[in-house]
Amino acid sequence: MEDLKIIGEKNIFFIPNVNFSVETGICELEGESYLENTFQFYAPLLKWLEDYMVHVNKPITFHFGLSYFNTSSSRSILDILNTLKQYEQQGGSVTVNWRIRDWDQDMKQDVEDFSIDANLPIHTQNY
Amino acid sequence: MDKKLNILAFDENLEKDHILVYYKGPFIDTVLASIGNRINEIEMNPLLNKKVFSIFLELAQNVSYYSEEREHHDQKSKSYGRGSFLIYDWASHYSLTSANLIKKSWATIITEKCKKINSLDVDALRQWKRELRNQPMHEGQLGANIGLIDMALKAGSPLEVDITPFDEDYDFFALSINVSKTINNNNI
Repeated sequence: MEDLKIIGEKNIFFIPNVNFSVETGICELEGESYLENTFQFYAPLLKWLEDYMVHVNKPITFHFGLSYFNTSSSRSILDILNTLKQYEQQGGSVTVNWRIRDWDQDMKQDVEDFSIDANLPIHTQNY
Repeated sequence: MDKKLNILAFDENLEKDHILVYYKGPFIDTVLASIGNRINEIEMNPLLNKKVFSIFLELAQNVSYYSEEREHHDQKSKSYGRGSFLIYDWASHYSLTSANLIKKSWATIITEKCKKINSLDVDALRQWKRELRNQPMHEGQLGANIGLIDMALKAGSPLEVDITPFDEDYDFFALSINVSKTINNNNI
């Protein structure tokens, strides 16, 4: 299994930075998410997590640093959280963090809703 | 000569009416990116800026996906909806409007959905948004089906729907929402 790296860019669409490490189990998804084909972009991320759960089976620490996502992306983000929840239910160790700008009350609300939806605690860090 | 005078009158009207952004045409990705960049230059408060940007993008994606007046781009083998988009800049709030053609059969569905959204409080809206987001996607679905609710939550103000008959098959559908320049901590 290999690391998953995607270098983000903010151009016509907003591609987030992806950095998933097999060695450490640390997964980072940060930047902004507004994509031409949301489901196509997130499919390999979900596939990577599923492979990791089966073949590596070590703790996962997921760091979200998304500062903007459109509603289409929000669905795929929930898919990631649901996959992590599933891992936890199978006995895997999962920690989820989310960095939020201290002024961003809308993001705070969105992250709360993700946490309720996936039934997974999300530790927020203000900056 | 006549034409020039009309353009001048048109420009003056835009200014008089506090119109900050006005676009009519196909909702192509590159155009949306330019409007988005412009929006990001207008408002200095980061939260207000983000609210206006997010609402613009959800409105624009609705036009691009669902407008019945479409323009095909062979290069991308993709079609884009045509419509209009406006931002008014008032002293107390921004007002964002999108407009496009819809099938007559959609008029009631959209009106009812907006009515329901306007009748719910923040907690009920959040719950409904979560319910819809949890539903499985059906084939050909383009978005997450939560754009209207998300807009109402971010704006903290009602969705205003204006539907005018266009011809036998289509209605002209305009959707407006205000974003207050005074940000309230409770969000609504």
